[in-house]
Amino acid sequence: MVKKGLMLAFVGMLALSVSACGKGASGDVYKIATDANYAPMESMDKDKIVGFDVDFLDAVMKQAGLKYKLTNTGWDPMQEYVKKGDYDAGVSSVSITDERKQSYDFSLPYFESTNMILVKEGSDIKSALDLKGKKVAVQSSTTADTLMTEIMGTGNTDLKKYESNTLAFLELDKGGVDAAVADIAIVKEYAKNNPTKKFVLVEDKENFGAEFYGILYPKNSELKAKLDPAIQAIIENGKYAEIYKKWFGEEPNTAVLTGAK
Amino acid sequence: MEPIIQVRSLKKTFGANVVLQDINVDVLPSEVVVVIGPSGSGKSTFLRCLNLLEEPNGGEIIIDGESLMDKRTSIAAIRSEVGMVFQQFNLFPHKRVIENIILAPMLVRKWSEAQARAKGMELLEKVGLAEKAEAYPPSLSGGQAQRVAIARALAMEPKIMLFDEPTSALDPEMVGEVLGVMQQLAREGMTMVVVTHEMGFAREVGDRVLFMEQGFVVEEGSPAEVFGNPKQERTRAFLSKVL
Amino acid sequence: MFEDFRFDIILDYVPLVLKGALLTVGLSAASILLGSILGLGIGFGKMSRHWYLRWPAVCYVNFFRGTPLYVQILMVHFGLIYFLLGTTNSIIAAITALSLNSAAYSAEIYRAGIQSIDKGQTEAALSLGLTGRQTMRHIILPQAVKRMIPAFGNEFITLVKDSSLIAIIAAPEIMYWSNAMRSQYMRIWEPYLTASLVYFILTYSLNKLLLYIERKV
Repeated sequence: MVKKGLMLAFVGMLALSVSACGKGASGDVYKIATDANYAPMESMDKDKIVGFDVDFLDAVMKQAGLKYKLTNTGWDPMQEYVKKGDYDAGVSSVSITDERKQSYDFSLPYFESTNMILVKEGSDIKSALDLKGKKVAVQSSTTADTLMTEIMGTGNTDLKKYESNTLAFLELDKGGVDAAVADIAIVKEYAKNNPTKKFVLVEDKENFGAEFYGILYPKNSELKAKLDPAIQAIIENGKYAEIYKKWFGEEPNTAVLTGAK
Repeated sequence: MEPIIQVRSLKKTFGANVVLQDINVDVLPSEVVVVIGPSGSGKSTFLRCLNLLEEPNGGEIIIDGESLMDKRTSIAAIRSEVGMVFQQFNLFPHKRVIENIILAPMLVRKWSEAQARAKGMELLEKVGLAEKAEAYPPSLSGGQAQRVAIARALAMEPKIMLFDEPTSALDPEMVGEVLGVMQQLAREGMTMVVVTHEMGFAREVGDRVLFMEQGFVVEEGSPAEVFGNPKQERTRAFLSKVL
Repeated sequence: MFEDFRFDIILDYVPLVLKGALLTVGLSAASILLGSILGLGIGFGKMSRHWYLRWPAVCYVNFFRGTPLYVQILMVHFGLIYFLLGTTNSIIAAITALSLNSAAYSAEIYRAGIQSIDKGQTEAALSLGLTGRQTMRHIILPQAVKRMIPAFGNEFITLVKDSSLIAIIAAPEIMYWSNAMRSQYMRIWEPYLTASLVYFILTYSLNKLLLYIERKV
């Protein structure tokens, strides 16, 4: 009786979720999804989506000669839309990992994400390896999450995953963790905005492996073949560097991108 | 003989509504005082003032030498000496009949359970309901419930018993069994104040009858005087309607 | 949608989700207990004749029922617990926030239950010489509690599901591990349906337990 009830409930949940989706194929205008919640990569400025990813996408699509429409769908829906092919791609600082490649195709790497450790003054943490056995905060689903999960192990409760970097940094400030790990631009911005809190920034290029963002496609996407050359082209013709400088104020290391697989 | 209840200039208002204007009543030990009057005359409120279920707004009530209006008097202690029987019985539905009866003696008088049970069974015997000791109140008829309620009040061995329209909620065929128990109590010498519409009971069992109207005691006297030869016009008008 | 459902990644996370379920059960049980006790006090406060008891209780209930639990959890974690302990602790914060929130709802259940008992019961008990406290303990509460059980059942089940919100302070319960799975594989149905199924089993069992208690009382 109990088993039957559970089965029925589970089947019911499946049925509900199945009925919630339908194919909305694209014609000439490609549908691109994003989660505009990760400044400066993508965020909302009033009702407009802005950020590095937005300008990058625009340059790539122009280079390829394709029309597109970018929509802020949110993170979870973006995954589902792209996986089902309702949207043709997702551009949202998505890290390329082997686990994710099982469900999606990725473009060529278009951005190197370098992570950095944020600690309080007087901390004995000097490198990523010192983080083992310590309590560390990261934002869930980021490259910092991926990296630290690799270093500390899946299921390690000393690695605390938060919905946003804001909460992860607050946790560090309140002493709930010994360090926070996040993208270099975000860490620098936070430390700059909170000068009285005596944070120390620790860089460790050696032990933090390179993490790259890619455009997210459905499996066997035709768009990948059209956009990969366009990505290469804008990196080579300097358009990429122009956008990078606009958002980060410095030259990108494009050699890393072209060298990455 | 010293009165066991003395009421002086008792006043009670509910907001702007004056329910008791100026009540002066003495009750002697073993006396049975029956209060009659139209509904809304204040007779139930008067009764409820006697154990402070209603708080008077003025005047004085002295029970067995203790002033109820004195802040130092323990209300709970006074109430434990003054039993009350309600129109709606108010038995505790989650407790068995015998538990209803032994609760207060054990909690208030600190009797042992054995002692309280012995007393309880004796009282159930007296009201003719010994076989219902283990029953739950909702399974009782109205007449049975009211007899249990009387036994429950008696278990505290009170000096005074107050009855607030004890038969008004009963089917007519059950009125007799309750009045019978009350009559027996009166014979045993219990001091009783009874608010009732049962004129037969008032005439037969009452030592004294109070007729109340609009918050005043309009007339009082022996049943023979009040029923046989009422002095007040208003008493006559009331009696002509109910007799 | 489910043609490529990945049971293998669920299996991977089963040990963690089960560990999370244990924490959810522990947190919920502690919060139900503490919330019910605290709620009793607040419920009585709301019914008090004294304004200085009634007023704080009314404010308390209005605040915790009228603001998002999400915000309450953050305020307790980074505010109250930090203030009290000098550091943060997601488990203590979770139990505290859920208990404080549940107490507000429990207070209303107590109040409604107690006020539903006929006034004649109180009068009968008082007329026998019982004190107000004895009347509440022996006459009113036993009857009122029985009437409160279905409402408490709802409240407890809501609390178990609401406990999923504490993933925001990284307390490693069911939803936290579900989020980890979601992030690792970038798939939403496997983690969300796994979490839902575990919550369903927990609330279904709790419901059975409450029905059993209701019959026994």
